[in-house]
Amino acid sequence: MTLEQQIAQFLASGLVNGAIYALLGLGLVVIFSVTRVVNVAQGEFAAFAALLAATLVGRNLPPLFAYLTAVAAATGLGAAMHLVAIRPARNATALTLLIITIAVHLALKGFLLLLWGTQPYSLPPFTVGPPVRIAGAILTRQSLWVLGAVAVILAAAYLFFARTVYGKSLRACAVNPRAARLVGISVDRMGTLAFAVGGGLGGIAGILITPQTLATYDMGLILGLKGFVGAVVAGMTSYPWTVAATLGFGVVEALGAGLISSAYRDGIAFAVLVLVLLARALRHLREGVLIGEEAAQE
Amino acid sequence: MTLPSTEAARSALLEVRDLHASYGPVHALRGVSLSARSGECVAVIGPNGAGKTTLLHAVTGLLPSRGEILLAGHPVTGRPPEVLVRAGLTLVPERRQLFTTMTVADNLLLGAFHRRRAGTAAEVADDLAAVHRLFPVLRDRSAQPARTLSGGMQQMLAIGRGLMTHPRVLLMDEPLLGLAPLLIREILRVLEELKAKGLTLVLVEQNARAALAVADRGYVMETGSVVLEGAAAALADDPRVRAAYLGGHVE
Amino acid sequence: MRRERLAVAAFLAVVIALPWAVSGRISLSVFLFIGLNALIAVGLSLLGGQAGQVSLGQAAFYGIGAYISAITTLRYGINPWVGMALAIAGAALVAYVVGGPILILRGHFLVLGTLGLNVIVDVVIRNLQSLTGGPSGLTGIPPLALGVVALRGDRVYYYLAWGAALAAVWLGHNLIASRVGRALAAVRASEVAAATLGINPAHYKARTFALSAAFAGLAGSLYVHYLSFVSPSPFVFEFSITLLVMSVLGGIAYLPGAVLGAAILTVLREALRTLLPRFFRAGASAEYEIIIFGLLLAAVVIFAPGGVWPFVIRLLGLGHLRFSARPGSTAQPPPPAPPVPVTSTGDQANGGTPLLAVEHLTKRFGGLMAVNDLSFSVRPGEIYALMGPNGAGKTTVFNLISGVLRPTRGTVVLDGRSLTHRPAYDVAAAGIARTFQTPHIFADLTVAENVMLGMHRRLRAGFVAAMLRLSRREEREAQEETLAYLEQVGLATVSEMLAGALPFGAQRLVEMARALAVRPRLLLLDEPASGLSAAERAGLVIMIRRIRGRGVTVILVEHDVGLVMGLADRVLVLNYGQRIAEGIPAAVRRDPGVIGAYLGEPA
Repeated sequence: MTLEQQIAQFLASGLVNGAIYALLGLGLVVIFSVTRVVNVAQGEFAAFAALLAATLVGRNLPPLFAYLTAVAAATGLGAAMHLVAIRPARNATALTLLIITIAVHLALKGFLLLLWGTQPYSLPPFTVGPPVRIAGAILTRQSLWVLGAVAVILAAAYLFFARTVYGKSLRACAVNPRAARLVGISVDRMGTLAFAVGGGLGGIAGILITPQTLATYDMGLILGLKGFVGAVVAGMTSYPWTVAATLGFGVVEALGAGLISSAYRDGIAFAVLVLVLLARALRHLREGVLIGEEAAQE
Repeated sequence: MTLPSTEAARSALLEVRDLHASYGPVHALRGVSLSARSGECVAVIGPNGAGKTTLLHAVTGLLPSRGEILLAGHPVTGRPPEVLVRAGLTLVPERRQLFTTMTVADNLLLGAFHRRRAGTAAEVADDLAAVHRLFPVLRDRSAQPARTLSGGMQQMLAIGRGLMTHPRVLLMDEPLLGLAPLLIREILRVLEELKAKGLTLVLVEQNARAALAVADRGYVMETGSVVLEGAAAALADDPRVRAAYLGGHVE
Repeated sequence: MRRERLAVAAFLAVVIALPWAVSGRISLSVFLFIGLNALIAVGLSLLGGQAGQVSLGQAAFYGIGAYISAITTLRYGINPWVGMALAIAGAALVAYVVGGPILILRGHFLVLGTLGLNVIVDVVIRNLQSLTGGPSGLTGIPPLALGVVALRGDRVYYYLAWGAALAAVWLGHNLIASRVGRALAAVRASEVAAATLGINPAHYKARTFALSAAFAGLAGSLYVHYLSFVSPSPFVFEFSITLLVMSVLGGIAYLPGAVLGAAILTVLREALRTLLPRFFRAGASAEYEIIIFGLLLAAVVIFAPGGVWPFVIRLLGLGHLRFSARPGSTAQPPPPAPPVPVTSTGDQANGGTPLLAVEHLTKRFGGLMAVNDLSFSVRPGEIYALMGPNGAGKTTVFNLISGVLRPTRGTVVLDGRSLTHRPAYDVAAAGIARTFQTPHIFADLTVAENVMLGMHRRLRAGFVAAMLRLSRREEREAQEETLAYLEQVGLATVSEMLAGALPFGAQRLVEMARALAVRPRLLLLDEPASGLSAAERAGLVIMIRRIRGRGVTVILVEHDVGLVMGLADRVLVLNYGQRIAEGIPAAVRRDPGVIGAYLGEPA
């Protein structure tokens, strides 16, 4: 392969991975903007849905049914996490809430291990067929499915947030929770809805990625953190920027792993995270504000 | 003042008895009582720091309080705001707490959030048309993000969003704050119109002259208590009101 | 206190005697590892309990320390003690370089940054084969030595590990009781209030983080010299979580809690390693361990957020042995000192030049002009009042002058020196102190400690001096001076009470005394009379006059018009962020524009 071909290949596979991270990043942003919780357990939604789908497919159930069931279960898991672990402690400090999500991450990972053990599970590709060559890059059919499915989900997410009352009320809670309460929106219930949406998006990500990489009980943390990198770049608030940043991050990661060494893949990913945090800190320093402007107007 | 004509209007629609509330160590409300009959416009005036906003926050459940709050005779003390809105008690908060990044249309739509289920669409559309009649500018700017509106239009949107909750009692926190005289007249015109339609209004204002001009009755607050109450016209001429604002204490 | 001393002595005796008592089936190495883990967990508790930050990368610093010691001694033949110093310094440096900038961001980005760092360190160690030996690690690391005597065996390293852990508790305990500990407590409670006292929040958080990494680096160094072998596996992210569980389980606010948490978890881990394989499929027992830790963490956070330590001291009746987030000053209150001059100001000599000059000050919040092209100047020794209806922009002006907010446009000059765009802690150091509308006192600190925070920039003790108790003399002198400030506001008798326990009016006075302790040239008082009773207001007026009498220039925002009229030399009235009147109180009060602004335009 020529260098150009290699780079085209890395770009393509980076976009495919980035599309997966985008779903996780979006879930994190939905949850954070409504509840101010950084959910360390986000990746567990993906792992749970992937393993559940693999089991259902293994029992010879129709794949589509298995996928829908698994995504629904992940959605329910998200809502349950909010109701059981977050909502009772909603008046706690941000630090406590963060430690709670770390605990939930560990506990969920544990139950996945109990139920599925350490061995990897696979899902069949959505369709079989030879890889496709696009602009010098060779893509598996599953990669195309991933890109297509993520495009459809992003469009659906856009419609949900821009057109539906529930999508709008989630945004309203993020913009101004007090004003939301004053028009009759229960911020608590919207928190549960946000976690449910986050769980569903995570579940879809897990099912999409599994035919390519296999599913294990401990796949969640790294996956969730990669979504987090993009979400932080986008400031944890903007949905479109989160998608753009996670796609960009996927490409950087693929180029780094391909051109430097694949052994450093995760190292590169987190080097990007640390660099992004440093860059944000420097910008913050330049702006030199001590309190947010919202707070200053109170 | 016209006499209440119906059975329901004879007693107070909103009644607050001996309300106490604290912000941290500050005892901000010290036993406030007030009432508003159906269709009445009541002004609560007083200088900065008198506890007017605290009163509204306590009544609407944003702030925990002790005392008694009755809405149409039913006790609602301690209910959170999202529940009270459904019961018809709506606060138009101060400083125009809008959903700033969302459009004018979305802000109004979210006002009808608790009527989102099927079967209320026609009613919501009627209310929206009514808001647009009151504030035609909100129809023209439907697609614009709320934060890009001028201060006066933001206040109109805040009132419009409050009306979209279909309230029985509308509480307003300093709707005239920071507005130019022309806009103040515009808002007052709308308040008159709402009053004429029979909506019950509780108007908290620092702008005593304007508030008393539109209100039927008034309460003057100072350091967490009601120190004066009476017919609006009488209060407007009372030298003690001026003293409350510009130094000295009301006896 | 005797009971507490006895308890400490008994505990030390057990620690010292233990290596001679254990034998047979229980291995001393388990207790050794309790010491090493405790050393790291104490650092994590300092970071969490004092700086309010969580690190999920302590295992990485443990690893950095271990590999620096291993590589310097093994590959470069460097003396192990020097290698140990390098290990400590290396871990601290990495923490400071990475954590320093991240901690400028408020919120909990450090968690994710450190988590990322842990993964990076793990990847680097596994792949930098030529230096680290890759996944199989390094063997044959020389032991520590005293002269020609090599230190080997469980007992020696047991004493070293426990000595280091207990020293860490002692150092941390001293730190908490010092100027640095007070600054950290202030930052935890309110970064804004801390900054307006001259404290740079990010600076203190970053140094605490570096200190916690130094403890982990030391633990890593001891670890490799004990085992004479190192591989990447102990330094993975999962161990960072285990360390966090130790510290939260013991009680993150209590340093001995970290030791207790380390003991419980290390023993539990050993027990699980023998028990779990009997119940579960082989190979995964280490994984099951982390689940149990996760559930334990969840249970502690939800049911006993303070951790186990408070229960232990209650059980043993050792109420005084708090070693808590903040032990309180144990020193006896010094005898009352004569009042010291608040400031040695030469301002009066400056004649006509203003002390504070504000020009074209503008602050825009989105579409709202909170302050709009405002210019005014305040003469030295003046009492100057800002008035105006709600939302006129008065507090925003204070926030802009004190550096809490950054102006959109305009300049702030104090005595010829530009303070525009300076951070709040530099503005405070330049001589501007302020109070807040709702008093920002530090409720968990004593009244005296609150006031001592006002003296922060005049005291010197840094981390090292504080940990080694080299600053006791400075502290004593500061306490005496504190009492003088408290006498000025009439609170000397309650100096050892927790500030949060005082009534509201007294809290305002604590904040005022704290602002005076800054020895400001300019004092900004934001609604000092609000929430005060009539009698308290009268006292306040006398106090403000007395403060001015000592040469401090005062600007106040106040709603009590009567109070302002009787107190201020000049009044500036704002509306919509703009000046509508300025002058002597009597004139301003008659100004029709002012009356209109307050009572409203006739409709």
